Amino acid sequence: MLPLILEHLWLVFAATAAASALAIPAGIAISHRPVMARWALASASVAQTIPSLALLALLISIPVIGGIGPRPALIALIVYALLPILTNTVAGLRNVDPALREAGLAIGMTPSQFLRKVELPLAAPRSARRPSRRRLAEADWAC
Amino acid sequence: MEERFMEVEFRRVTLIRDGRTILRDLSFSLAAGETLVLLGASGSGKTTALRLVNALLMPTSGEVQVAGKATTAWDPIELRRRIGYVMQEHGLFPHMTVQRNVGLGLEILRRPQSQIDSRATALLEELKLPAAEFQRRYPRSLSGGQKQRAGIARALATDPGLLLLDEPFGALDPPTRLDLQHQFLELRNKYRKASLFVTHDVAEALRLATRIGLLHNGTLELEATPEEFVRTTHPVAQSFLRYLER
Repeated sequence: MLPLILEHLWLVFAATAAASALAIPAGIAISHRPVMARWALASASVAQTIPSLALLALLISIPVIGGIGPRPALIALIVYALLPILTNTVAGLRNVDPALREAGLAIGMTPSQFLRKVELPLAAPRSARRPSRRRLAEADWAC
Repeated sequence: MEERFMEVEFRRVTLIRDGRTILRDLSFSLAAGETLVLLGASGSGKTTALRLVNALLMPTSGEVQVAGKATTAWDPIELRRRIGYVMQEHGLFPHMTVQRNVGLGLEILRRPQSQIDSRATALLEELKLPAAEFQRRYPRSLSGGQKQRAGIARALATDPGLLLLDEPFGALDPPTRLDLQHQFLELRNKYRKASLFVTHDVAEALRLATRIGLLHNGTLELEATPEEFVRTTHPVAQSFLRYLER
């Protein structure tokens, strides 16, 4: 039982970490570029619509990343975690009050200072969401 | 940190945005120690004029000079760091303590933390926000008047060569507003900073200005001292002054 729990926890942790490492910088990069943001969010949404069972079944047939066991489960979890983290990162960054944007500019912040000192701290509580429990249950089934 | 005064000069400034003329052929200047109040109704272009000074906007034609140099020739970040800016409200960063907000202008200049802290503490005291009580609080726990006091402290922190104030007391109840106006006069007499102050409140303009610039539909209709302003027969000025008679 314990090894299974540990494996489960490891899967959640690794998938969240990997998805965050991909989606948070991507979200920061696209938040001020409306065209790119639309494309990135659309493709992440498409990935999200694939039923997780179908994705897992598909992964069985793909060499290296696929097969059966924890590896395809991890990949599937990453794919599903990308969209919520990406959308929440973009939404968080875009939700910064325009008055604060003006205050930051007027005080003489550089864009990177504004990102580090204002946008990211204000957006932080929104972007950190984990993959849903249903996804975890389905990934668990695949192991 | 001693900063020389930076004079401001508008030279035939016109600003057109989305096909709309917001400011038309605007010329005026601001000299050392002056408080020039731009008075006007909403939509008169007064806030826009302010945003041209710290390069948040650029003129369509004409030139805004700060310290003898056109805003288009300034590095905008460098320029903004030399100008104190006070906004109407919501200008404080909600995730930073009052102390950090006040010291932020120095923080982004990468000054030593001890220097930032002592400056912020001194300014909080000066603005009647005792540091022991206020420095660790967040903006949401402050009243409107206290927020504006903190906003003024922040604008003064870098000892800027010029202050821009965009309806800083507009959202305050009348007694608090009067209180802050007196505080502003006190600070002006002490620091002799030149200020460009925007308001739609004629009583505020008469109380604080050394000179009043009356803006109407993007045009500077009148430039006058408060004494001259109350005597003028200019129709737009009259429309503001009528508000005072009751």
